[in-house]
Amino acid sequence: MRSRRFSSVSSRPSSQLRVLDDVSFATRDGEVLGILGTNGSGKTTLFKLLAGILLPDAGTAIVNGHDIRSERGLVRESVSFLSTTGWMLFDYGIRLSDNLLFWAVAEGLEIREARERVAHALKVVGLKNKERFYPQNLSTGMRQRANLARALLADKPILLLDEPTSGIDPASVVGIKRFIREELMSSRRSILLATNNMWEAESTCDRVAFLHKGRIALIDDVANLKRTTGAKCAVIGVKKSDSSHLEESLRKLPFVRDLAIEASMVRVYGDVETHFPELLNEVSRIPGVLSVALDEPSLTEIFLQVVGGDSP
Amino acid sequence: MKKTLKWRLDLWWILFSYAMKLKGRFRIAAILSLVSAVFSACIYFFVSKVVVGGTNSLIGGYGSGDYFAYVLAGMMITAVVSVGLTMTLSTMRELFWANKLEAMLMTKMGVGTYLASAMILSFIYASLNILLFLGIGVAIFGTSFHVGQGGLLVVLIILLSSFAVSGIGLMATGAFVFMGAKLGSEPVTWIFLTLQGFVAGIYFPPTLLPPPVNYLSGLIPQSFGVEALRQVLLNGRGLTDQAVLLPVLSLFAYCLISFPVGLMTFKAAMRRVESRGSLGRWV
Repeated sequence: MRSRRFSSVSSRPSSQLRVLDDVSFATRDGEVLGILGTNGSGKTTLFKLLAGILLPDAGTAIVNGHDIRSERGLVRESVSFLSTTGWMLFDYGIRLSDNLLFWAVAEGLEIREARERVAHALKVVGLKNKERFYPQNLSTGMRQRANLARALLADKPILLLDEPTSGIDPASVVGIKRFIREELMSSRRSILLATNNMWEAESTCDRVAFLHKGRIALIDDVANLKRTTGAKCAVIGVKKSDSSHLEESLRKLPFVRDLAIEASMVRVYGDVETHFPELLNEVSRIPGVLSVALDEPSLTEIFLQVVGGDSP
Repeated sequence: MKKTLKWRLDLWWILFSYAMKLKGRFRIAAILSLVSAVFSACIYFFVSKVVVGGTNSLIGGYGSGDYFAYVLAGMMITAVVSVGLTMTLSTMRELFWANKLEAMLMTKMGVGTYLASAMILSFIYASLNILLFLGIGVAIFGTSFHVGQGGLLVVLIILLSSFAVSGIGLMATGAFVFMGAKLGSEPVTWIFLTLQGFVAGIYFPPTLLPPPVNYLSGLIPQSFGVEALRQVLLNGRGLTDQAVLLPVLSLFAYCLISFPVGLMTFKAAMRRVESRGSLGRWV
C-alpha cells in the first residue's frame, strides 16, 4: 500500500490570519479520508495548497512525492481538485458533453480518447441521457454530478473533493456517495473529502481528520474514534406522549450534560457510562419508558468534543 | 504526461471549435458588432463631408487629403490594437469571475495557451473588421487604397502593432490580477486607450495638439502603427521608404521591450495572487 504524504504546511492568505499551521498527514491508495472542520477552519485552503494553486507562506507539502514549492507542475499532474463552485466552470452556451470534452482535452487527452472518457464519465454519474443538454437546463444536483464527472476525465492518483454534496437533495447525495465509494474507489485513488456533514463523512470515509484552528486535531478510523474518543450516550425509548416528565427528571441529574429529544427517543449526553446504574434507577420510576441502552457516540458528538463548539 | 504533437493539435482544434460554438451561440452579438463597424465607417464618411468638406490641407500629406480615408486607416489600426490591448485582460477577467482560473492552472493546457487562443481568435475577428472597413471604403464610398502593392507590408504593420500593444495588454492583465479585480478595472488599459484616442493620430494629426501634449504620441505604439499604415495605404510607400521604415522599426523596438516586460509583470502578479489565494472571485 503506497502512502501519500502531505506535510508541514502553513498558510496565511490574508495578512491578518494564519489559516493552517503545521498540518501533516498521510493517505493510502484507495482510501477516502474525510477532512472535517467548521466553516473557515481551513479545509479549502488546505486543498488549494495540496493542489498546487496556493503557495504556503512557510513550510511545504509533499504530494505524491512531489514538493508543492519546487515541483508544482508535477503536483498539479497528480491532483484533481473539485471545488464547491466547480459547476461554474461549465459554459452555459455549450452542451454538457462538449463542456466536458474541452476539459478532458485540456487535461491532456487526445480527442478520440477524450470522447470515450466523457461518455464513460457521463454514464457513471447518471447523466448519459443529458449529454446534449446545456448546463443551464440541468438541476443543481445534476450540475454537481456533472462536476464530479470531471473527476473521471483525468486519471490522476489524488482526488480532492470540496463539499461535493453541498446544496444537493438527499436522493442525489446518496447517488454521489455511491459514486465516491464504488466508482472512484475502484480506481485505487486517494480521495480527500472536505465536508462539515458528519453523516456524510461517517458513511463515506474510511478515516476522518478534524481540522481545528489550522491544525489536525485528530485523525483516525471512524470506528476507532467512536471506540476511543467519544463518551457513550444513553438512548431511552419512550411512548410519544410521555417525554416531558422524563426530560424534567433527567435534567435534575448532575452527570447529565445535555438531552436530544425526538418523537419516541431521548438521547442523554454526559458521563452516563459511569453513572449508568443511577440513570437506570431514575428512569425506571418514570412511566412511559420502554427501553434504556448505552450507545456509541455519533461523529457529530466526537467532533463537538474535539472542537468544543468553537468557531475558528 | 508528455505533450505530444497530436495532443497539441487536438488542443488547438478544441480551443477554436469551442470558441466558435460560443460565438455561434451568441451570434446575434457578433453580427451586431459587425453592423456597428459598418455604421461607424458610414458616420465618419458623412462627418468628413460636413466638417471638412471631404478633403483637408492638414492631412494633405496622406494621399489626396481625403479625411474619410485618413480616419478609416486609423480605425483599422484601432480595431486590431484594441484586441491586443484588452483581450488578455478581458479573458483573465472572465476566468476570474467564473472561477475558471484555478481549474485551468491545474490542467496540462495551462492558462497561457488559453489566453493565446483567445487572443488569436480575436485577432482573426478584428482582421474581418479591417477587411470590412476596406471593403466599405473602396466599394461603397469609392476610397482609394494602395492595397495591392503593400498587402504584405500592411499585414506586417498590423502584426507588429498587435504585438507591441499585447505587451501592454499583459501589463494591464498583471495589474488586474495584482489588484485582485476588487475595483473591477485597472489603470494601464485606461491610460493607453485614452491616449490612443487623443494623441495617436487616429482621428486627427497629433501635430494639431500643443506641445508638450503632442510629444505623448511618441510614447504609444499605436501612433507608429497608424502612421506606417497610412503611408502604405494612402501614399503607396514601401518598407525601404523612411516614412514607413522608421515607424516600423519603432514598433519593432516597442515589441522587444513591452512584450518581455508585460510577460514578467503578468508572471509576478500570478505568483503574488497564488500566495494570497485570490485566484478566483469566490475563494
